[in-house]
Amino acid sequence: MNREDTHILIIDDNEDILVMLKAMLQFKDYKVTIKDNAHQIENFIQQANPDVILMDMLLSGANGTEICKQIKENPAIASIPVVMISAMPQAEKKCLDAGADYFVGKPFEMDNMLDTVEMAVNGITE
Amino acid sequence: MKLNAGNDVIQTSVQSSIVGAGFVNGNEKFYNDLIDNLPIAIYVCDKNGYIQSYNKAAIELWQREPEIGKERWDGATKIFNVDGSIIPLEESSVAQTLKEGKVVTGKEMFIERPDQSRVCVLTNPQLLYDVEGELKGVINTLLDITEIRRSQEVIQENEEKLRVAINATGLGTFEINLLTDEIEYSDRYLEIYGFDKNDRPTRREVIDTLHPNDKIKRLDSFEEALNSGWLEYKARVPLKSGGIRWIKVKGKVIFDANNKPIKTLGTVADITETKIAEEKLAKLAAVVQSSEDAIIGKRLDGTITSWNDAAERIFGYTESEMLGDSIYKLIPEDRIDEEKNIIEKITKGERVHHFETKRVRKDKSEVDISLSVSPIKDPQGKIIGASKIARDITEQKKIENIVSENEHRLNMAVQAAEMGTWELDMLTDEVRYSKRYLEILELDPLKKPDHNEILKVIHPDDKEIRMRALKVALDTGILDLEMRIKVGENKTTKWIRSRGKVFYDADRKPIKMMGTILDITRQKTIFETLRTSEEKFRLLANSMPQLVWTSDTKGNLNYFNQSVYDYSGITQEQIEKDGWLQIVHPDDREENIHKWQHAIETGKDFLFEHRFRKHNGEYRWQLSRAIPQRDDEGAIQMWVGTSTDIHEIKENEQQKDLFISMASHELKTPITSIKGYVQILMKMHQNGNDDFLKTSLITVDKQIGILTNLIGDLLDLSKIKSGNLQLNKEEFCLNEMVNEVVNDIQPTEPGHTFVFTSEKECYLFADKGRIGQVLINFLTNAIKYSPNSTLIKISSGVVDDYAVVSVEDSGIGINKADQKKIFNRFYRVEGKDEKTFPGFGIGLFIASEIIQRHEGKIEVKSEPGKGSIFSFYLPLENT
Repeated sequence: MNREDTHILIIDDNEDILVMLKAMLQFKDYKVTIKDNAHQIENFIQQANPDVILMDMLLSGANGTEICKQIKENPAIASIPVVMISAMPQAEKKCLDAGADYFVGKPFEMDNMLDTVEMAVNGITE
Repeated sequence: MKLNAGNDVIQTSVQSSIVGAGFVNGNEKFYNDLIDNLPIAIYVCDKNGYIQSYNKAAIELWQREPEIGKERWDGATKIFNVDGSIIPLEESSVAQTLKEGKVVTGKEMFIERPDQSRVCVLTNPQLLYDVEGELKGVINTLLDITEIRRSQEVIQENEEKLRVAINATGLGTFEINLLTDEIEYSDRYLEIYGFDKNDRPTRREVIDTLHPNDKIKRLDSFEEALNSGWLEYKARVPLKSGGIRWIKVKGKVIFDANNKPIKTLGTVADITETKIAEEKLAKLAAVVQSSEDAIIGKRLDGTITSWNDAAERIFGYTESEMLGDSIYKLIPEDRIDEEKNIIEKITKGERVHHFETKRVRKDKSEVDISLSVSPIKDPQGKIIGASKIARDITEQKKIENIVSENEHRLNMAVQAAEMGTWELDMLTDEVRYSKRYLEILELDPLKKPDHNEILKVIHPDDKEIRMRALKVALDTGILDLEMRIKVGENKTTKWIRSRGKVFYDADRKPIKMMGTILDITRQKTIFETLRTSEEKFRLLANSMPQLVWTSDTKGNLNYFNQSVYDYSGITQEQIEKDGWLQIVHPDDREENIHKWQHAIETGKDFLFEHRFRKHNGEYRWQLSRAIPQRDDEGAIQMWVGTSTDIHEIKENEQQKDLFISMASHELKTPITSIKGYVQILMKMHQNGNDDFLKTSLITVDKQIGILTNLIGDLLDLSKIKSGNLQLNKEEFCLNEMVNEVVNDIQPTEPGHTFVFTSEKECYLFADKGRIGQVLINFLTNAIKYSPNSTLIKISSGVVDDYAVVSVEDSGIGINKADQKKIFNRFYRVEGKDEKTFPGFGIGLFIASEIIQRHEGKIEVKSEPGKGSIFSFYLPLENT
């Protein structure tokens, strides 16, 4: 798949991170959509229909793991790989338990982030 | 009577002779000669009593010749009655005959001769008349009856003697006329049959006194006697006073010429005493025969005269073998003298009591016996032999030996226990004691203290206790007493234990006490101290706000202080019934059990934070800590645990942890942002020409890395503190993990060379990330503290049951004092190096925590100036 045709959805309430992640991913020529809240998230995902969802665990007004669970329980969007990122301790286990396919801890190396997203795009498990 | 008849003849012939010849014819001389020669004394007196003539026999009788015509009445000068009283001559039978004209004949009297001997004579005077019938005088004959009289006296005397003899034998006599059935009897006879002397019972009445059962016996005896002539039977006479009299009747039947029985003469004897004696003897004989002890009679020369069954049993010889044989047969050769001594004593009339010796059996074996020997006397009291009682004491000896052996052992034990022994004679109050006894009482042995002296040492307050114990002892026979005594000059108080036994006589009267005393001052003191300290401990434990508990070696909790009950609101019974775990928060229980079991199994301190339910239902955090109590050998005796309420601290900590957690998150977010942009910039400019920009970006990125690590450590620290450092264990290859870490770190540390060598491939079940973190910590430390050397050696291997990884540097090293502290939390090396190596301590503390949580160990070997070797060990058993 051509990277320009690959659509990544980033959900994070921190605008700086959102912009930084978008810049990183654009290095790899992915088509990036960003969302800074969890409002109507399932509908949004269904309409946007991304190839990979990159999502922070801690969102203002919402719990990332809960959203992850909803995604994975919604048959329309459950197949979309979810990469979760967090600075919280023990976040990795919580995220994976909630159904996330990948996890990247904050702060992260840019290469590490890009490798993980690429694996998610290609459906390669860690 | 014949005598008298004879006299009559003589008299008649003399009379007729005198009358015929006398004074008439000249034949006077013939008659005179005849009379003169008659063997009987004759003399004639004239009518006035003057003696006219006498014959030779008269002279012989009188032993004198009275003067004719001058002496009167008799030729003897003194005459006496048979009873010895004097008869005046003028009252003699001759005189009486002449004076009264009446012949007094047949009078017996004594005449005294000139030599004063007396002769008994029978006088027979006859009056003489002339032819005209005129009284001319008297003629008297004197018949010497001395011999006759003496014979009579002898007979009488003998009769008397017989009577006395019969009386003396106590025999009653009887004579039965078998024709008339009349009976004559003596007084004694009546007495024996129970009659009064004045009674005159008929034969029938006598027979009726017999015991009914014996009447037939009497009849049988009588029938037999009529054939044999001899009567003999024994019968009983019931007495009016009660009781029985045994009689023995013996008699002879007298037959007439036609062999017809006419009378029975006999005696009756009271044989009651004999009969009783016989019975006694029979009983005695039975006793002797049935005795357990050998009873032997012997003469003084040692000849055996009796031998009972027990003697046969003990010595093996039968009665027939031994009767007449010598007692020496039983005596061992080396003890012959013994018997001589015994005989000597017996001869003196002394007795030998319970003399313990040995005797020989028939089978030549020796037997232990106890001898008692008493003299045997004849009725006159002469010692004629000895009775010997021999008791087989073999068993007793054995027991004595055992007793003696036990006594020996007891003595040993007494000595070993440093006991004093004592013995009290309760009759005399005499007391005997051992040396040790006086030592304990601190009394001077030279003063030979008596019972009273000893009683003085008793502590006044304990006299009552002693009296009570003595009272119990007299009842039960056992004394057991602990009391205080005051001894020595300073009246020091000591504790003693006195134990004893009471000995009684046959009437159960206490006669003796024996026992021991032991100085128990030390035990008492220790006991008291222990008791006091235990009380103190309990008081202390109960007054402590902490929950205090103890457990046995198996982990069963067996004591809780008051605070536990106060806090939980449950009772001891509830805890005993449902266990202590009921108050532990359900979420904490599983780990609690696991941790506790682990502590019990390994003997390592138990340290755990858990929530206990309070009486109001609230759960509060407690920090429980239990430490094993070990004995001198290091064996665990028990566990003592405390639980301290850390709820507030815990809440504070949790808030702090949450803060740190949030803070680290909040810190990481901008770092993530910075790091992201820096890396984007680096990517954008990696092919550009602006070297300063490139170098600056690399430095920023590196510092962000350090900052990230610091934040990570801080976060780990908070996790450790809150107990939230959780291990995600998985199986992995140790060498593979080491290689990954080294490969990751090498590119960022181009100034150092990492060399990894492995002895052995091994797999672990552990938290791979955390173990990697430890290794990174070791490596970063090695890098930090060896700024002037480049080689860092990493090795792995297996030591015992542990996988070991070591990191060796050639850096500045750590001094000994610091080596012990570097794993402590927030430990920092004092001095200028502090600034040089920031963050030192936290990392090693975290590493140490991680390894400990894996039940491994962490160590450091270092020499200042030469470098350090950091190693961690992880148990292989987990794989």
